[in-house]
Amino acid sequence: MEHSSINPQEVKKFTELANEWWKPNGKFKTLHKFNPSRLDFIIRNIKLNFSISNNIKQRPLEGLSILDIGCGGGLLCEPLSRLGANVTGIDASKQNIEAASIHAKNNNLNINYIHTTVEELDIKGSFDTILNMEVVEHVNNQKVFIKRSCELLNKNGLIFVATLNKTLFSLIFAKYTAEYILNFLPRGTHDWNKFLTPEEVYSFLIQNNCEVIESAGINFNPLLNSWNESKSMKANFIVTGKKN
Amino acid sequence: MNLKNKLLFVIRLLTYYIFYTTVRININYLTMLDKLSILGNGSSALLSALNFSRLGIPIDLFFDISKKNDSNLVTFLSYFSLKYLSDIGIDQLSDQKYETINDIECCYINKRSNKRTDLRFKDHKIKPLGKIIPNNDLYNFLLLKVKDTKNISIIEDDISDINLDEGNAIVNLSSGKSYHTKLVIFTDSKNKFIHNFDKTDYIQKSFGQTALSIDANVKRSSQNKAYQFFTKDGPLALLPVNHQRCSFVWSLKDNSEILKYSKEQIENEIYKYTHNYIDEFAVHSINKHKLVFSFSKSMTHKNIIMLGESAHTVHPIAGQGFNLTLKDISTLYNVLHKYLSLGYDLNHNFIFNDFYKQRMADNTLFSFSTMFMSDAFISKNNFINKSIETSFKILDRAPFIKKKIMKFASGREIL
Repeated sequence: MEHSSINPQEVKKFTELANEWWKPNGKFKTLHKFNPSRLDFIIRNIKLNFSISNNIKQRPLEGLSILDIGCGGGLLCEPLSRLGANVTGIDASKQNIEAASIHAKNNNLNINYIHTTVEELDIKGSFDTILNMEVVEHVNNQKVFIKRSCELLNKNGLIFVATLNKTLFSLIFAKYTAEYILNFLPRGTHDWNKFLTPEEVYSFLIQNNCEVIESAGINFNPLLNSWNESKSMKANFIVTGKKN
Repeated sequence: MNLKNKLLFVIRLLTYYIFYTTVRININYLTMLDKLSILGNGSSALLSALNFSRLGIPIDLFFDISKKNDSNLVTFLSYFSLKYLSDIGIDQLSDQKYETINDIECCYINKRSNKRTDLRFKDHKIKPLGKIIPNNDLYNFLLLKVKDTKNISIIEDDISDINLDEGNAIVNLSSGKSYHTKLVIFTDSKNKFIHNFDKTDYIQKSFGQTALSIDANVKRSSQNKAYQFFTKDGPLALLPVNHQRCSFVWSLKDNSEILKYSKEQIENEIYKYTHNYIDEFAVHSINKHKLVFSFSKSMTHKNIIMLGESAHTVHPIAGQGFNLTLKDISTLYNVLHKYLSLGYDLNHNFIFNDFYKQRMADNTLFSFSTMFMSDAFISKNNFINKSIETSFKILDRAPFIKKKIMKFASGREIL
């Protein structure tokens, strides 16, 4: 079990919240608000890396295979599938996969949802893009988790790792203020001890033959009540790695 | 059944299966298409269809070509509007046959003393302010372009009903046909379906005024200049279309005697105010339009977005009606472009929320300030008259504020 990244308590916690995923004002409302900024970062990097033009096109990501690890209710899988990508979403919670599958079916989207973990994923071939979005801070063995993720990546493919920085700022604002004062997230969603610094993420990626090509912070603007990409990586941040 | 017949039976079964699944997939694909529907019968509907067609999605335009408006009304298109229209391929407006407006001269006539106070908006660095375009010309240019655009389907049948549910809308026609769509856009204040929705979100009231729109041949010594005379009967605008043709728009109280005047009497009345600026003029046609104020507090309802006149009909006093519509359309285009590029659905609540947030303040400001202005300029109250006179005098000596107003009116502030 020591090599497994899965934390059973974390899986139980998200299972209880499975029905909340697609309620815009439900318990995941912050994730909904946060989604456009991280999608913008992901799509911009994918388009640059795979030389996809920015011109208006119905399905610009047609032909790309994407694996979303810890997909939850499919908040990222669905937009990417709508843009034409061939999306596989995996999650350790069966209820999350069920909630995601029902929602995708109701929206006529063909997404391959599998109830499994990244270590147990039994799938032929590898992926052009792998998403590790806000999931690495919920696993037990982060090094093993990223190593296995990188193994599933095609040469010249992209891996995105989004998590929370291990700073005093994130402890005060991303943990206590967000969970206990502003109620952005259900209480106990995050364990500060599992947060990673950008340098730790860079190091994990480099160790697994991935070159870091871009990183950015995603910060909350209380005046505009919106989340925007920024240079400051004091709390939420996102890193893109490219496999050599 | 011999072996040959058994084989034929299996092959036939397989053929049926393949045919059935292929057809089913195609039907599913067709119903999955992200379609956008636009309802309206004017230039706003055509312009919306042209703009949103650039997103590459199929557009169903519910538009009755036979209901063409033959009024002689004109529209002031600001510099921003002209540039925007040119960018989407409406090049005819840059034609020399439409005069550019560089200056605006306002003249306030005190209702009691008949004293004149002038206010001139002129700045050689902020020109042109815009052009005056006949509504029919604009309509024809847009219709021509819409007919040439591949992903716009014009549906001319009458709409009998619109059903809205959580995800989709169904537009039912009198002919029995139905069109499924994810987003419906209303562009027209005459749309009967607006009033089927939550009435508490919709303000509608009469201004108690009627506008005379007068098309005339005019000889003028001064070019590239529009005039607004705040007469004792109501604001009268002189709007040059080209070197020979002008439009006059006169907003009068519903009980004004002028509304009962003959063509010659109206010519004489107008000449009283404009004789310093025009040498000769001959009226071609006179139309009357009841002025109604309407304002949607929400601009959205379930899968519907209201823009332009369906969300706000403003008083013509500031000539900003169509420019507001264009700002709505350009904002919605940007919002749709942003979220569709990120893979969101056409009916995602982010689209409705962002559009509302970005347009509500501007629409509220224009709608209510023009209503306030129209009331003030028609008022006979001595205090209000004096206040307007004083404001004109102060403003005429404040080039910085005038510059700001000109930039705002020409749309340069948002370019």
